[in-house]
Amino acid sequence: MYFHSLYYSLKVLIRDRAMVFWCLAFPIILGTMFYFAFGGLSEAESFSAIPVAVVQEETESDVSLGEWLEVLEKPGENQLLEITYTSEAEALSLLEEKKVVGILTAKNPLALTVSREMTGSRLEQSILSSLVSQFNMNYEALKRIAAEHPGQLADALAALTEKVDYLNDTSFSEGNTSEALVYFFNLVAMNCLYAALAGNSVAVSHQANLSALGARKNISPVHKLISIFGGLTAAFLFQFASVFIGLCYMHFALSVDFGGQGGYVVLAAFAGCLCGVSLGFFVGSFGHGTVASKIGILISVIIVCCLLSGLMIGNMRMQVEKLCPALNRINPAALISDALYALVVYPSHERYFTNIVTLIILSALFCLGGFFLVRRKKYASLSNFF
Amino acid sequence: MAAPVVKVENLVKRYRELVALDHFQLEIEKGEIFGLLGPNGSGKTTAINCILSLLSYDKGSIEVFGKEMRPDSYDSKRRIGVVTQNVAVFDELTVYENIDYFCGLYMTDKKQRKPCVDEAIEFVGLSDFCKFYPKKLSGGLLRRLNIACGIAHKPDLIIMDEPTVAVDPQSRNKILEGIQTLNRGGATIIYTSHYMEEVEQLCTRIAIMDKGKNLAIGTKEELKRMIKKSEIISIDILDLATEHLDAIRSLEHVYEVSFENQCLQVLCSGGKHNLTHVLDYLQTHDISFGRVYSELPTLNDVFLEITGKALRD
Repeated sequence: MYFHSLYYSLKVLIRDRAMVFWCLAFPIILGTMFYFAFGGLSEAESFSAIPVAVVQEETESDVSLGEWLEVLEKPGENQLLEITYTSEAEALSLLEEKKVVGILTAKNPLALTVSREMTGSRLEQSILSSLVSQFNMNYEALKRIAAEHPGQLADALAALTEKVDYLNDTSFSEGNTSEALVYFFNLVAMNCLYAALAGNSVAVSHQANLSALGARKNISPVHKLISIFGGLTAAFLFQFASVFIGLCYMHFALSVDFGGQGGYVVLAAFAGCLCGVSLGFFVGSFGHGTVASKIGILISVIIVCCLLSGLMIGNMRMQVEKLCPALNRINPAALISDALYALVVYPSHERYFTNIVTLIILSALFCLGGFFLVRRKKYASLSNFF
Repeated sequence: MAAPVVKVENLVKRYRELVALDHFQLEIEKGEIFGLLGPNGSGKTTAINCILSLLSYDKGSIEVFGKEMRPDSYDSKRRIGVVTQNVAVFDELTVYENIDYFCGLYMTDKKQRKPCVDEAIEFVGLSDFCKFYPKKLSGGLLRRLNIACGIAHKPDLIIMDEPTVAVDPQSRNKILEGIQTLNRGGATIIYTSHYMEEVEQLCTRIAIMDKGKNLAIGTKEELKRMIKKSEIISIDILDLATEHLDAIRSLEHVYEVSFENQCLQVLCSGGKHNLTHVLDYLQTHDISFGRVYSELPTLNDVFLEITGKALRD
């Protein structure tokens, strides 16, 4: 009987177009939108060398300028400038054509020419301005030292050219801490929680006071819990398959980095779907509300869970962690998202497994609560289904 | 003597202040087509839900197939088929799959189930629609699918709650013929309907209930004998003086006389040859008359006389 219920419940779910859209197509569409929306975010964070034209004029600073420019255009991770040595006329032409951000004219002091029309390159213009100011200031200082204390010129030169970093970036792991990833993880969490819709449908279709099908099932010689268990398994399998397809799409088509730990990601999806199905089953079994009101409550719960885990506002989970950390410990969406985050960020799986175990405990509680509520043998009243 | 298929004793069901079933009694023997009649809100569906152990009740006892009916009476439930008032099928499953699903709740063996499903499809005339989804079926076909889902497992007791509501005459005829066939095959049937002619045509015994009570129970002939009106005589007459009306009213077994639109209507209670007595009077007093009708009471007359003519919710 369990397999009979499982088989037909699965058929019903697969053929339910609304369910397929919300549980499979919608997360894929949203993921694609995230990809295009956040795709530029990491690109914006990377820095590329600023193209400049350098116009050589015979000045006394030429030698030191040449050395300075050589350092700045040295290819590699720290390359700051991409220099074109040219004439003044050619440089102006390049600037007009927006092929360079500015013109450095090698005279005393070093001069910078930028175009007002290049509004999109304000950041680069500011960097160039700052570089030129620094060069001129250092040049003037060295010139004065050379005139007044020629013996200390070497020390001064060393002091000015020495690069001192007062801030040191230290990473706890070699993981990817991109902010955009958190949105994708929350999307996976939302997708897992959509299993609640299928779980709710199982609860409703087994209660004689909520649906005509429920009445029909209640009068059959089948143990209610066996039939429900079959339905819940079908709901879980359906949602797990949907989430798995969504994960594959994110990984292979959208190149979302899951930290190269596919097995653990699938396990997180497994626990997430389990929690989603049982949450829906519990809400569907609770109280005497209409089917529509139960769906409404469920969607609200899912949205609030996802909101608090950061699906709509990236740092929301951090804010919740500051204000009410307990909420993050029981919010299924936050637990799923955090489990995935822990996978890509932390070298240890401790935090990941804490989240997974919490999800499984929540699932067990929701299931037991649901079974307790629907175990009722007779109803005090029935609607006009029968 | 075999135990009744259904035995309900002193059943009381309250919805807070409202008494839905008031010491309701019922006994249905094997092989009957038992009609349960009553106006809206009379307690028919509540009684059925209690019999099926869906509803809790405050007092009384229910036995089905000689055993107390409880939610876990799986042996009894396995022998019951229910055709619900509202169509209860899965929109996402085809006709065949729906019947197979519901039949599968009673029969786990696929091989044993298949011929039953095929037979049910044949029985309700849905062979050409096996692969159709319910949304593609007309109202009549949908009702027939609903019936097939309830009877495919060949139950000994079939409970049909208004199975012909909103069904065209052809489908209704098909359904009624099917019910008689099921009965001839040995099934006991409990049938509720608002269509008096259906109940009159089908049922071997009928219970009329109102306000949660069984007001009358018996065969249709027994019920008709219970009411005052036993014959309605209508005669076309051009003109009739008041003294003649009074004289006809004083005839034996006549209890009501009226003359409207050149039609004399005489209601008789019991007795034989009432028509002859009225016609004798007219001939004796040289009163010309045209067409003459004599009608025996219908189940509808019985129903209205027992439950009253006041409108119900």
